[in-house]
Amino acid sequence: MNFLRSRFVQAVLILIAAFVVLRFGIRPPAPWSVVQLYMTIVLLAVLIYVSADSDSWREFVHPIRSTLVEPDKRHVRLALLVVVPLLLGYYAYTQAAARPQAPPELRAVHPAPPAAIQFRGKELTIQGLDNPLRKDQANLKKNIAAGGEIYIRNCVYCHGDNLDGKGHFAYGFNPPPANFQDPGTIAMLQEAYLFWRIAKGGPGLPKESTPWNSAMPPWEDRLDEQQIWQVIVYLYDATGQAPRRWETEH
Amino acid sequence: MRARVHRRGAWGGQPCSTTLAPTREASLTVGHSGHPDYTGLAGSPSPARRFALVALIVLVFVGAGIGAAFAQAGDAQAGKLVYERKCALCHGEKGDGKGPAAELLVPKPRDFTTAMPSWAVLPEKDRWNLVAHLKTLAPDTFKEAPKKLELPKEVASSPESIRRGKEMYEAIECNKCHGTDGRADGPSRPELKDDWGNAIAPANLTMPWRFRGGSAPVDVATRLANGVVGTPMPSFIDSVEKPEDVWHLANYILSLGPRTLTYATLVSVTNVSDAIPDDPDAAFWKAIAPNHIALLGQVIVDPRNFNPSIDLVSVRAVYHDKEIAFHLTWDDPTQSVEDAAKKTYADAISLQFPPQPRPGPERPYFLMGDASDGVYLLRWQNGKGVTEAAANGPTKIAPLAGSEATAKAVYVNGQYRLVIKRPLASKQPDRLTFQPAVFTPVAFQAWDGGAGETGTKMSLTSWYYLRLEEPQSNRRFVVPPVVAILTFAALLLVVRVANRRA
Repeated sequence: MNFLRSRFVQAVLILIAAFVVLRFGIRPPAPWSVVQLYMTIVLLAVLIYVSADSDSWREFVHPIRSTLVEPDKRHVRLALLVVVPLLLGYYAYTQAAARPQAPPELRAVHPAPPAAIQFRGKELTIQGLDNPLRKDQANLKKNIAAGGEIYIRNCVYCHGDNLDGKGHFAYGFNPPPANFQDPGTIAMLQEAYLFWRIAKGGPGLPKESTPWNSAMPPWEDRLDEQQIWQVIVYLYDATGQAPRRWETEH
Repeated sequence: MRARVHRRGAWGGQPCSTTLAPTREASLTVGHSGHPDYTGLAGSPSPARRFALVALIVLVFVGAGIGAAFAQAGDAQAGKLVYERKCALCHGEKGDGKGPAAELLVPKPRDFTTAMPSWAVLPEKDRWNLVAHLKTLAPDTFKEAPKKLELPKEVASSPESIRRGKEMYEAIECNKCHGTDGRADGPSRPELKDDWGNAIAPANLTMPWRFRGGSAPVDVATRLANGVVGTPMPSFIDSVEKPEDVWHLANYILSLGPRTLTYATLVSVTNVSDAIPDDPDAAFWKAIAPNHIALLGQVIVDPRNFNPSIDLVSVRAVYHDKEIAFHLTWDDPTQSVEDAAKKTYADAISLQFPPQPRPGPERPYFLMGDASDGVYLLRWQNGKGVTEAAANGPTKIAPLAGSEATAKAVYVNGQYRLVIKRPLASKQPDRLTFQPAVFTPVAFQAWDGGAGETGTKMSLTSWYYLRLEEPQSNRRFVVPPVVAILTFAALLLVVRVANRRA
């Protein structure tokens, strides 16, 4: 393991390890620009490390210098003179011949809801609103069953019969339908938030959430207040998730 | 990113859902409903119906593993719990296909052939338990062990096998239902009924990626040999000349289309120097790469379209300095025009754009805009040709005066191929001028008039992008050698300098 003592080998290994971690160790994958940024930082850190004192720096530079000047490294030198320009030329070709891709759709996934909404001509305060059906524990099962029926008649086409956002129409819409089984959706939202999203649908989204592209209908046209609360208790029951509660004031 | 996090904080502080997660037991039992109105059940189903239904359900769950099937015993009681949570809303609590969703689904839930998605997401044990439970719904049927289907030895696909399959396709009259080219447009199509008397459509064999029963050769051969219970698809194992012909047929069917399809997110418009042909079948178009766009039912505005007929349009687009042209290919099993007596409407398709290019991401509402922000349409209708139109919502479409668009369509064996052309630039302020190298929003709508689709009963897409590619320059051949030579020179210089110092 003598070669591990070499400053040059160490520097290369650190760079490779950092790249592997950044490129494959992060899920979901980090964007290429972020990887580049972090790799630049790692490179700077490595240069600082190898140039900490003049002995270390000399040791680091030694293999590079010897490749450039030593007569017995002539073949390596020639190989580098051929391979490096060819690799860069190939990279230039992939860049010059690349076809443009659709620009990414940037949108806020869970935008802040309004403090109050107009629901069928009456004002509903969303902030601090609780699901009234939760108070009526005796009829909760009945309401869940009614919510399931509403769900299967209206929502299943996009959100799927397993509530995982994989309905019949799911594959063609961008943004894709929400996956309620995912702990990142309804489990981190208050029930009043769901009420707002269901009542107002895509057109009720703020601009940063691309309301022109969402296929979610405004359900206030078809479902009354009670029906929306019923489908909400069904969503939580069927997925085994619990709604987020409002913070209590201290 | 920062703005999002900040807003979420403002909306309610830290998430606390983890502390509230219910126990597994609770989540399994709550779905069990004792409420009598739950299924909307009217009367008991007849034993015969129930037999066919249960046979079908069991078949579906056993699915592709037909060889290994019937070996595992499940727990019927545990299966009942899964059934109530996952199946009852469509298939009804008693398994009679009368769940609340039944009236909306085509084919109906009991017939399981195409509407039902795969439930591979359930743990295997749950699936076997379900099979055990389903068998209890029709106990008489399962007194005897079922016969195991033996397929002849698999024949690998080859040009000869495909040729033989095509002969058999015609010999056993697959084309009567599935059509000459397999696009579900056969002459028997209007008469097809399932075992319960509901109209049912044959499968479009050119779209294997949609086969819910699987698109592996063994899946297709199994359906050919066994038929599909409850549907007009019979068993063909005795109709073909030799048993192994089911493999030739499967190979032929799978040669009609790809097993997976890659959908486009960007419609690239190729720059051409030649004249653009009007004829959709001209060889010119075969050289242009298609962009496959998924179409879905319009379910926002009444009347809604839960079971759209057209679910794919393949777009080839080209332009030169004067004109832009769109070559659209889509399957429609019936060629139809507006006919009040037959209750059919004109088959139609439209391309949608914002009326003007605009900076920033904002666009009109994807469903043909709204009152304040409209869209521009290139709209083709069978029998009427192409028009330019403005729309402020799906029910407010107004033709634009002085349309400059032209179109030519052909309809062959269940498929439309259409070329729409328009001048690249428009002098009118109410219609889009196409600009190269700009991402222009585009959306599509389609109507199968023969299936009663008109107005808001349509299939559609949300916004995609269209981009007129700049002429392929020689840059990609010039830049790389220059880069390579410069790198070589720089390396050489470094070596020289290093040697001189040493």
